[in-house]
Amino acid sequence: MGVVLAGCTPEAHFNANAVLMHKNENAAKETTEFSPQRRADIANTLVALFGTPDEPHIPAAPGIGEDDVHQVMDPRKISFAAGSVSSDEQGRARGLYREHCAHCHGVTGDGAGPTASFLNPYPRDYRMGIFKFKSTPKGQKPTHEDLKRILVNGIPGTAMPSFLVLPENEIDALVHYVRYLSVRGEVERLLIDYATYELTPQTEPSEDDPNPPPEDRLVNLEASEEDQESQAEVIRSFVSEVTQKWLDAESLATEIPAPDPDRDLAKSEAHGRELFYGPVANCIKCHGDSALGDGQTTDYDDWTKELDPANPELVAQYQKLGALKPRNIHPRNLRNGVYRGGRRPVDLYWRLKNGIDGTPMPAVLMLPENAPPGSKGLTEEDLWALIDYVRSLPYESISNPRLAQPKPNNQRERS
Amino acid sequence: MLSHRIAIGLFVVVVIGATVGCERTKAPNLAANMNTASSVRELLQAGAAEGGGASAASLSEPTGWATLTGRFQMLGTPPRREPLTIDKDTAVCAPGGKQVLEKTVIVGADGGIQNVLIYLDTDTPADDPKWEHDSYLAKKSDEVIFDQKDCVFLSHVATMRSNQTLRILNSDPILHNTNIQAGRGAIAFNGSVPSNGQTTYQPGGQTDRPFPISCSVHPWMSAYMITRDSPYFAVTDENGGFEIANVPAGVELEFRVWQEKAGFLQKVNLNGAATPWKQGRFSVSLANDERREMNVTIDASVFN
Repeated sequence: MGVVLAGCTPEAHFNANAVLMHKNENAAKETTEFSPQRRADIANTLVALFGTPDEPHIPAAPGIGEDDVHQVMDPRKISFAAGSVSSDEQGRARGLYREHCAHCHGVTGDGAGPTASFLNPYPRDYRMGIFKFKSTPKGQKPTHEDLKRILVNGIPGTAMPSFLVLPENEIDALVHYVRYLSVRGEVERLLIDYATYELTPQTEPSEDDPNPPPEDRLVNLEASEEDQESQAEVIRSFVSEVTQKWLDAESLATEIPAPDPDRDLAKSEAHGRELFYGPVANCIKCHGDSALGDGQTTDYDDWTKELDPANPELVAQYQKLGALKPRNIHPRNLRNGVYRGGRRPVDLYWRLKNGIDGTPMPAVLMLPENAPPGSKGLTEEDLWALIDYVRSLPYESISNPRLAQPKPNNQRERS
Repeated sequence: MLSHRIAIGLFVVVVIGATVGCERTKAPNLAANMNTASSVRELLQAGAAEGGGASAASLSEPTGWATLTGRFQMLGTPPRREPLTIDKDTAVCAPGGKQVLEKTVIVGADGGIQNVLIYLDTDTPADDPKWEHDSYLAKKSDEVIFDQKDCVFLSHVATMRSNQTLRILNSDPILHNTNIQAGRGAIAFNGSVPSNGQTTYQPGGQTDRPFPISCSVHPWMSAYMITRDSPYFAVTDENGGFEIANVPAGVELEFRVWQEKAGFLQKVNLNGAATPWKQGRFSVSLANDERREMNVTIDASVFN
């Protein structure tokens, strides 16, 4: 019996991004088909580069020194976080990712673990390499500190808990592992896109074309040495490209000029309110006239946009391949006092100054330096006023009720 | 003996049950072949230390300049353009309930296909007057205007050089935001643009393929864009026509052709002959001062 059960425990494996493959087939149906050969090439390449969930591997990235690659993905930390849950003779934990993260984010980091479909919002899919709550400008990766902050604090208003109780070295290992899954997922996307738009697919002979060219291979060990090397060069360049972006992010955190500590808070809030409703910041456009998050509720985030959410037929196809049911993204209800990316003024500063990656939230328009008079945009002072106002919103009365009749001053409560 | 049989029977049932259970947990992906994967790993490791940067293929030198021009025409009934659902700021975006049609496939009266993108795919040396005609060098620092009016991006397929600055305007009396979901090579951007205001975007690199631009306030607004290092690109006009002037002559150049609905155009008829364009690519080598005419017809079925 035990043997039978052991045989049934599936070996942990990374799922292929079948949704993106199928999406590309739909988008470029004249030129694209993911044949079994092509799927196998991609799967083999990914194992070659990144190993398996039980035996992770850190690929070399040409043009980037080994130390720098390990700054992004440290093999020792990653093997500490990888594998199945256990502990060694000294009682040190192993398999941290599967213990703490995989049930929601999935072994693959595709945000589709067993609990994912029950959660709202869904857990993050790391494979696009996009993260929302961070200190860097739009389009850049988060810093190490940014990811660590999310693990330590959790994300209020979502199912993401705080892992403050974990020792520092475990948090650190998990940050490295999340980056590893993200790099792996993004390289997989680049391989899929490359196969879609650069390689000739398999074509059946037809009347027009009795001898179609053979299918281009992503990697073919039977090809000439020269061809193999040029195939390898393309694959390696994808690893370098993604790894470099993570390295660059460490020096890209948006600096925050300190606000005037002696500013009159009431005045600043009042000014912020004007901006909130005014034409330049115009926050009400999406967050709604009452800041309840009801101004624009029909858009989607970048992860959902990939599922062609307006097309139910395609959505059904993607769901069969494991995609979660699309949901609209809602602007934050600013009267709840719950801030997913952190409630500190600096957190709100980053959200406003840089926008929120992967979502419709844009960066505010700042007044350019030496802008000609009459130019539109916010000053640093305006930005802090907006932050002051947004922070006061949960305590601002949503209505201004007035009594229909003055109360008699001898009123007593009925008992 | 009998109990033995029952035991075996039970065992078989358990194994079948267990196997079925295993099948259900398998993801719909193809497992890698570990032996192949380890050979691929050896291949990838072997040359990794040599440093990155694919060496540019040595190109022969251009001998002069030529013009590439032509027209894209659809044969057959074009797909119907659907009206957009406009449910916000209707006074500005659809005054008086005006119908606004989506722009995925726009075909003129005699079949001319608008918004087909043609761009040079060959990487050419930068800032080299042999490769870049004075007419382009003179304009290389010019800003590119990207405007929106009546909640429509005025350039549905926009093009710019990767070192240029895009000046994003808003000619509407309401707020827009411009969400540039840049593809690989360029930097993503999402900035708000107040009514009659403006902002700027610098892509910082070239992209291999067009990528979408949207407005989150008005999700029906849609456009595409490509950023390229070289200046050799064009988008067809309302008659389906295009012209790229001052293209380097005497060298083999590879172009790519893309349309929003069909993707990279593959099944085309060029000057009367069926011509397969592998992943939307065609090669030309033009003579000095040649004016190469390309009359491309495409069957309507490609756009359905």
